[in-house]
This record gives sequence, structure tokens and C-alpha cells, in this order.
Amino acid sequence: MIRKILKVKTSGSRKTGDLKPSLDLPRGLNMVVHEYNEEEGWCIVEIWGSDHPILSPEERVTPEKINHVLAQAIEELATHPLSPRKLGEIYGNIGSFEVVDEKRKIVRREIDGKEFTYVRTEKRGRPREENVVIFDEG
Amino acid sequence: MSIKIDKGKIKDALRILRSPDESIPMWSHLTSKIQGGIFITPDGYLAAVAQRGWTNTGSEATLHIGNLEYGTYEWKARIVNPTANRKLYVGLSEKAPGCYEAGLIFMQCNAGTYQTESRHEGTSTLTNLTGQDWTVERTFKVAFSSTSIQYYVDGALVATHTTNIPLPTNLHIIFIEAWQLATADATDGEVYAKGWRKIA
Repeated sequence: MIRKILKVKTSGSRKTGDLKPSLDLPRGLNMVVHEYNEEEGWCIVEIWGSDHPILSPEERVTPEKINHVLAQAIEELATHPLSPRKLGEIYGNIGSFEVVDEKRKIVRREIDGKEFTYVRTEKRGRPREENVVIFDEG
Repeated sequence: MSIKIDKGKIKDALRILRSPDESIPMWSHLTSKIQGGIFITPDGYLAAVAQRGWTNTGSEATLHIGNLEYGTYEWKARIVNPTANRKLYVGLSEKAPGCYEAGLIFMQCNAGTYQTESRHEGTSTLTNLTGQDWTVERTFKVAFSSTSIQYYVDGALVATHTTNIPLPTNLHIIFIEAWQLATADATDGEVYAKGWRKIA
């Protein structure tokens, strides 16, 4: 799940019935408007979406879609009270895996036979850090 | 002797009105459950009530409009006594009252939280709104396309959904509902709506 709070320019007006964020929202990202400042022509919006495989491909969020929205914002409000806070990361070694279905990207954990669906690999930024493989256990 | 029936004219008469200056006919398909009530007020509001003192019951009122089309729809509505114990809905829904799996476009006060909901084939995108008060009459607008649903209140966009967009062929009725949850209230919950029209 990806969630961001943005300050965005507005277009239209309440008087003409078309006051809205001036934002082209790609398929897969949803939006709620938390606050309008019609006088100054900006608003605070929250956008969110997911890249979960349960969604149809056109409804999955990609980095390109997020960048497309961020490029239109006045600024991202990372310290806004509604912004998600990153408290830390928890990860560990959960075992060795073997590929059981390459086409459907299913792997099996050797220790107990539990199957997982491969979702994506995240590259870590620091030197000597191993990449993190994301699985969906359904 | 034969009677010639112009099916085209009948079909046109039964479709939702397209022009802003036309009024909505009050032919309707009304349903009700016990311990609730539906009625049309003298000033033309379609209303649904969840009665005080009762639980897990309420009423629905619907206008059957046939298959919907993509476009922009507008209506006026207000709710009375929204509490944490009841759901008060206005929106567009599939044909069978009480069955909302195929698709819906709702604006609702659900257990005291104002929300928009888009549903397609059993899964929903649900948004909690902030800064809303629908106990005074508001103008609601929904801009419905194949890729998004934009929800407006009083001329300002409040939410946009680009996931779980229903098919227009799955939406058949204009819908309001007042439904009491598991806890009773000391007051009636009510929904009033009127002036439904397709504006674009």
C-alpha cells in the first residue's frame, strides 16, 4: 500500500460547481481531499494505491504513476499529521526456497513446504546489503 | 383492429432524463422492510426512515432507471440524526434491493463516518471523508467514466476512485437507505433526496 499527503493546486470553484485538485490521477491511485483553500488556490489531498497482484494490472500502482502525480504537486507533506510515518523495518531470514512454478512465480519453503507467490524484489540502497524479495503468502 | 405501439418512444420515456431543466417523474419502484418507512414528502423528497427503538432493520427507497450510462449525475440530499448505530446511504446501485455485489456508487454516512464507496463485482474502494456535515441539504454530484468516479459535495471534489469502477450495465437504480445496526437509537434516522438528474 502506498499513501502520500500532497499539497496541490486547484482549478474551478464551488460557485461553478467544479472545484477540484488540479491533478491527473492515473488508474490505480485513489484520492480524498482533506482541505481546500479556495482563496489561495490550493488543497491538501491524500492519494493511495497498491501494487498487490490481486488488482488487475491496469489498477496496480507503479513508480511511474507515483512520479507522475508527484510531479504535479506543489509539495509532498511528509510531516503532515495524516502522513504515514516510517517507524522502522523488520526483516529476517525465513528459510530457503525452491521454485515450483516459474510461470506463476510460486516458490516453496523447504522447511515446511509452504508456498508463496513472488511479488517483487526491492534493491537496498546501502553497500553490501542484500536485495529483499517480497512474497505474498495469500 | 390493431394498435401500433412505438417501442422507441416508450423506451425514451423510461430512460433517465438528460436535460437539466427537466423534472424527474415520480413513477418508481419502492421497497420496504418492516420497522422502517419510505415516503414522498409534499415538497418532492424521496425519503427513507430507520425507526427509533429498533435494531437491524430499516428501509430502502429506489427509483428504477434501467441500465445506467457513463456521465455526470447530480442530486440533492440531507440526512437526519446520523449516529454511530446506523447507516444512511444515497447513491446508485444494482437492480435487486439488498444485493450490492455487482456494482454500486454510494455516498454514505456509515456508523457516523462519511464515506464514498465504489464497488465492482464484489470488491470495493472505500474512502473516509473529512470535514463533512450532510445534516443540512447538500448537492451531490458523481462524474462516472470507465476509468474513474469523481465524487463532489456542494461543488467541490471530495474523492476520486480509479479502482473498482462498476460497469454502467450493472447499475439500475437510484437508491437511498436508512438502516439501523445492532444498537437502537432514541431518534429516527432519515434520508431525504430529490432532483436526480443527468447533467452531462
